Amino acid sequence: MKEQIDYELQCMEFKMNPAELVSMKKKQRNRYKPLILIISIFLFGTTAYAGYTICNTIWVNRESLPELDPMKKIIVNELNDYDEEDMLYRKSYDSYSELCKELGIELLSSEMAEGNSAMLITRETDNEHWTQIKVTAYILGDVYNLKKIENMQLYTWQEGEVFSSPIDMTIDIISSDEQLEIGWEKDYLGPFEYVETYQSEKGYKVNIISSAAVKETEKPMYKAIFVVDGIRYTLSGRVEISKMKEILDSFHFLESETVSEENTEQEVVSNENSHKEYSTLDLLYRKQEFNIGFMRSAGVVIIYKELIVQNIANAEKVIVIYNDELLEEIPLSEDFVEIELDKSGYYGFFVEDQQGEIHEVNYAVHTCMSSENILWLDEKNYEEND
Amino acid sequence: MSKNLTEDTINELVSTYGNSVLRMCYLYLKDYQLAEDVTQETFIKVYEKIDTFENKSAIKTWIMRIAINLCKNQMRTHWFKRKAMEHIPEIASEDEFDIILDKDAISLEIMKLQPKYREVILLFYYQELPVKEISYILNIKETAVLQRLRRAREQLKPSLKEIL
Repeated sequence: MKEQIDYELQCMEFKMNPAELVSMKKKQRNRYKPLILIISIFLFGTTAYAGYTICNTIWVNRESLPELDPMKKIIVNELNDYDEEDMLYRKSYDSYSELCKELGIELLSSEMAEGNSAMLITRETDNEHWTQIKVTAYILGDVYNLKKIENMQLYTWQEGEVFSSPIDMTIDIISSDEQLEIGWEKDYLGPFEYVETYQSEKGYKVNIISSAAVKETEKPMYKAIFVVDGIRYTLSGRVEISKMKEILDSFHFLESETVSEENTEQEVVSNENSHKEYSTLDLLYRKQEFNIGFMRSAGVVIIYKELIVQNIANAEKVIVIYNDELLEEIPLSEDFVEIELDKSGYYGFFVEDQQGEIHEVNYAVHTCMSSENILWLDEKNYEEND
Repeated sequence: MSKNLTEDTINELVSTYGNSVLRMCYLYLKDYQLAEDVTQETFIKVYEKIDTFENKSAIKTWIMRIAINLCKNQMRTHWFKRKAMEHIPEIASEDEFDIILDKDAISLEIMKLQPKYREVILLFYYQELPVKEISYILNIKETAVLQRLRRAREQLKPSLKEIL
């Protein structure tokens, strides 16, 4: 079986993320020869320059693509927003110009993205070696009925005539000699294939790869990867290749600060209009929707252990979700669990067993109503979602 | 094992176990991006905690234990996100990875199993670990491992049972 599985999954090969290697190296204060660089030198027996070039190569299913302009060391302003869990710095932005201002550097921008207040921008960095910026829905095109998924940097939408999806953008920045030496390779595995290397109107050299469409009405997914002034940009979206090229042709550097202030003012105006447009076309600004649980009033609920264990062996704890977010986890050690709901909202109740499997248990939740300090049970004091 | 030795050690561990951990995590989580993240995190933890490895088990067993526990954490975290996406027509996804498998592929059959059966099958048949080591990794009795293996085999297609 092992051989069969390895054969079936042979395209999956593991490489440590170079950025992680640098972080580990910094933590341990040891010099560390990254695996990627060692392999490169072994295979090609090359000079340091060629090793550097190889390490910033873009690969598709283990085949390297034509070389792009090299990435360079770019110093950007640091972030203060530290995420303890992920052990890196992370911040979200309301606008692209705000991001550029805070980074302290110029970034490329597309005319087609101007006035788009729906883009979701997140910047992640270790404040030393690398920065990655993800812009979801950078260009909307003619997609419509955009709805943001609560607590996630994701949208749902309806396909337009020209755009089957919005265009997302990722920006990779290297900020240290160490990271530059290690490089920042990317390998697109799976049903991707190289399409062509395109030169945009502004002279940017772009590698274009594609992935097949999932359904008949969809356009194929194209990724366009290019490096300008040492910074790597990756565009991603479902459009015809001619439209992707048109988008690439539209990239330019933002104007100077005095001019950009005017643009900012215009952007604010168009943002307001965009908000109005969204509120009539979809539910983005009209009301919040939650996908887990049922509407419940504030109050007290009880979950009886006996009801749970009838269906779920080895139930260990109760998990409470409030408005699609984890509220609390309570061990199921007593005969019942009493939970006070401070606010009205959408509550989902689940149980986790010893094997780590999660089971929905809304059926076992009883609402308590107090009358003159006497608690009694009302089994159906909730409204169903939808 | 001192820190000075870990540079070569981690290289060796990654090259020896990296692919099999990644593939095991993929079959467990059924999601390539998550599998890649978990595999990365596994070797970071190995690197950080190598000094605390007390040789109570083989290092392979230790690595697999870290990987399986991280997989379980991922499933727990992402279960709620997946639940939120159940009724949504289209999802924006930055990096897509689709493995194209033959309909008779063993990998597909394994992915159909419940997690508790999937993990014993993967550890026993793919990682080729003995029952005793699997018992340590999953923190269950050896008899429980044997029972899950038996039930997992029953759920697999007849054609696969011959292989097992």
